[in-house]
Amino acid sequence: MEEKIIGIIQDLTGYKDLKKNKEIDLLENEILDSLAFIELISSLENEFNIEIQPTQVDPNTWRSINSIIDLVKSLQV
Amino acid sequence: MILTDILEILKSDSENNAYRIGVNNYTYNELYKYVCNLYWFLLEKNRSKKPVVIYGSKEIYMKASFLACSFAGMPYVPIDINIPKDRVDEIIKQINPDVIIGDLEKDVRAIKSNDIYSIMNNNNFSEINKIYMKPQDTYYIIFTSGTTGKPKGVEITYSNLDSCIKWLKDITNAKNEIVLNQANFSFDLSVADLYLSLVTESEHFIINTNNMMDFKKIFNELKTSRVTLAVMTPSFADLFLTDKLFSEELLPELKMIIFCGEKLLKSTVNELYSRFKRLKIINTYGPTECTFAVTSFEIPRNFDEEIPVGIPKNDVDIFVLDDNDKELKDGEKGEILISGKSVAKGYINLKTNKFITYKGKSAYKTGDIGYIKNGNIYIIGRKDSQIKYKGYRIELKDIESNIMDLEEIDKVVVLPKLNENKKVEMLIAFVKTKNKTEFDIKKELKKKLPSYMIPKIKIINEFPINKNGKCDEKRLMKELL
Repeated sequence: MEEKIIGIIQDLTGYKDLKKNKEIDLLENEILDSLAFIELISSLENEFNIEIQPTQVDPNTWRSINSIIDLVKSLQV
Repeated sequence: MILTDILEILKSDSENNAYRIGVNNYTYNELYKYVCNLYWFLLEKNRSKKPVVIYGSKEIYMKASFLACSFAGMPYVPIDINIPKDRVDEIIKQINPDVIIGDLEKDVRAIKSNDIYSIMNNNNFSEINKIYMKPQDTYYIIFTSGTTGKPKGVEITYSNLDSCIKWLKDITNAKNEIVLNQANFSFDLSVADLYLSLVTESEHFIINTNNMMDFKKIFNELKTSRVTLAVMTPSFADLFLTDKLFSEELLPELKMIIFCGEKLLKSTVNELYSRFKRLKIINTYGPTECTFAVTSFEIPRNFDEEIPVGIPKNDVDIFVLDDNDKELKDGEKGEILISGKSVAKGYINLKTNKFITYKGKSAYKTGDIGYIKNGNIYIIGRKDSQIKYKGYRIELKDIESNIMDLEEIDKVVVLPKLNENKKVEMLIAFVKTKNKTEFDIKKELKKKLPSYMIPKIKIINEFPINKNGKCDEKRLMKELL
């Protein structure tokens, strides 16, 4: 699952080395912007059959790959 | 004209809200006091009547200063604080103002916001006794991306704006609304909500978009807003739509959205109509050079065709031309030319062949490619390398030239990555450099370009060449991204 999520984020943002750098701040470094964010929500929802409500998510979640992975895990239960 | 109408509303002693941002409400009565104080201040301070640079975000002094300049017969130049310093310096160099309003450090001409607030709040003020603005005077100057790497200023006249706002009032039928603002004031999308709210005695509701990821906070603000009419880009609506709470329950009084700035997709319209039962969606189109927008189309429910941008306003004509400037027939694709009352004066300090006289009227060659079918206008693309990204208009050459200006750059090509709807979903700069990393380039670029113009950086060793000896853009995107 981690691999898949990293793959999705790499495809959406155009950054290829995110795997080595899972704690990089995606917002601070402007890797994840509003357009990529819209795509990310729908890709994660489709891939993992989950429903993400951004209003129910701590905005800091979108800062790192690890916290996005945690979010997906928590929604899958 | 609109300033006469606005002055009348401001003078009416109304306790209705004129402007709301966060926890701050300002009534029409209060706004009038601010505008009067700034008007007399500017008449005294800016005797040259040179354009006034107004720098800031969405503080009340911004809107009050716009109006004070207008009544005093001075053009204003709005600059948002998110525009990086180098670009701000370039704009100020081009304008060479005597007066700057806002917290622009290290400029002696700048009157700091604290001083502005104390001027605005003087309770012992004289009323506005004359509107100095004449129809052919420049009303505002908005800067947009230019191919040379420097922003270019579009000069909009009072007559341009008057015609645009009266048309908007007509097509929306608005009165005493609560109008949602999205765009920052240096983006001309905001002109629609700035002035439509004034002429219809509505409340201008400003949403805090500093952290767009904080949905909870933004949705809480929306919930208490009672917004009835919104002006936004399709990208902004798409962002809200990612959360199912964005619906009639959140905004029960929302009855109209005016879209402008980029291609509006059917999926966005369908989703909005299914979540808002009483909503009307109006699609509009127009370049900054033609005063916000010149065409409109109210999208019927269950509309299953390609979405047009609609029919032109009464005092504007639209023609589709081929490469030799010959008019094309219905359905044939060519460059869109706009003529009539909405066409701007031109660019400041810049000669161009885009502004011409066509059939005796001032006209602008947009560079947009489109066609006309059954009276409706459809836009399908661009003639050149100008693109729309997140609703902003960007010249790819502007980005390239700013990257080339950095040290140790050998070559750069900036390309848009399109999604299945042909909308730009990402900008990529392919860069050949010896010693720089992508993060170095991004960091340096941030000082020169606004964040929406900063592309993903991809460092490459060699550029693929096609048969004609030019950079092979297709291979670049395919193999090297």
